[in-house]
Amino acid sequence: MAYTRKNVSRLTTGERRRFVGAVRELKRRGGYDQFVLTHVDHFAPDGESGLRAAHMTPSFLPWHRLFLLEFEEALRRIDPAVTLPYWDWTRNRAATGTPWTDDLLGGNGRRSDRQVTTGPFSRREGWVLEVNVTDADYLTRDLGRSHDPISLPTERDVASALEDPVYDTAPWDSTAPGGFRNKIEGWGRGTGTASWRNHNRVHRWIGGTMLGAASVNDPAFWLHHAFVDLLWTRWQRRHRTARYLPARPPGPRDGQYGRVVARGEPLPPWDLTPADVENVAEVYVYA
Amino acid sequence: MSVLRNRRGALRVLLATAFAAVTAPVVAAAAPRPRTAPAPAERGGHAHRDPRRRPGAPGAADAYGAPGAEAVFDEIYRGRRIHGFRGRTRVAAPGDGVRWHVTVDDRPLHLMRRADGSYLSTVDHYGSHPTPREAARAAVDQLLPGERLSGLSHGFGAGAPVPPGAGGASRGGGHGVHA
Repeated sequence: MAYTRKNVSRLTTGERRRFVGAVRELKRRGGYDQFVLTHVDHFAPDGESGLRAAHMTPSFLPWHRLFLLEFEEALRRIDPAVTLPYWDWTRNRAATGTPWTDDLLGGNGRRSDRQVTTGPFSRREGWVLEVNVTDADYLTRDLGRSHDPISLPTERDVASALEDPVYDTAPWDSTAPGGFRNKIEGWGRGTGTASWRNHNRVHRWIGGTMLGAASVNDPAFWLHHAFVDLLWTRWQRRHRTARYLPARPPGPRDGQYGRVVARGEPLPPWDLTPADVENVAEVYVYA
Repeated sequence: MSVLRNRRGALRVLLATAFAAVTAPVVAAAAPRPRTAPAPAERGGHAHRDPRRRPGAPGAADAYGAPGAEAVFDEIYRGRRIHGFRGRTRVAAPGDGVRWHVTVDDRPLHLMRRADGSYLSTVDHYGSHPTPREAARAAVDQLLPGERLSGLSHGFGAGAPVPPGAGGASRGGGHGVHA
């Protein structure tokens, strides 16, 4: 039986408590920090050499799907009733509402140092960052970017990505002019506010820890990416014959030779292929 | 694999096998404190918080300034010293093949290049900036008073050697950026 991933705004009090409890227990056991490190290790941008598995690449979606599945399995080993909830940032847009409540992710960072001091992931409650880009050992957030406010992506922003009938296009990186993948990952042209779209823009809207290489430290990461993963399933339903691209690896004369994962190639670090996880309905469904 | 996938429930079996291989260290690490040297660290350079290791101790900038690198910018921005060095030796990499090392208050700031020629840093991973100096300033914008860089860097990068005392290198190779 497939299990169900629910909208975080529809979790019962008990479901919230058990999700938070499993995440905190995984952290206590040391497992959570492995996920932080895995994400750091797989951030290879497109202006550098080497294979890109996780970002600025067609496998952005399957890589994070597997990353979430592995995290979810770690939680379910602690509490089999837990599944990953998703945060629909096109609907739950307030910095004080779901999921920024004391029984879920906790609230915004405080004004003086952006430290998260409320909820179950505050330092006082034992959520100490072991791996970070700075020497701060606590979670920080700056919801909405207080000094220069930006908004969350809208339903329309998401719709323009969902409308694209092609999964991804050459050159298969952050400069790909079309394709669902780059539009939802959110690398727009140029620099500055207008260039940050969808997935990238949400990282920026949350700010603080979520902006850096160690973004996984903030459990908001999982709720955000569960929604991005849901959007992939929505895109698949809308374009039923469309598949993951590229179907075959770029050839030796292509600038992307050896740098992207084709449909049937193993996706590090898992040895599964994008084709293996294009359809996950037997494992989980979204409600 | 395709045979397995055609059987009901087979993807779950497949996933369990894949995760068992990857998460073995996680299971082994079921201890009150995280392991200090997790498996992924062996593949790349990242900095754990560890009070005994202070990356970028005084002298790191001097190490960058050793033969093979020239200082391109050196400024105080919002009370932080930003130092940018450009390597003299060209490397086989996309772009113009120039390698950059940037420090903030003598601690290495890992910069990476995007295909459009812009730069992103470990502090700001989800947006990019036209020049190394602007990427360094943007990183400083994110730092709070008293907060210092840890030297964290990703594991699959250019593989540029990090100068002695600059942190990260002792953990298996921090990286400069190929520009």
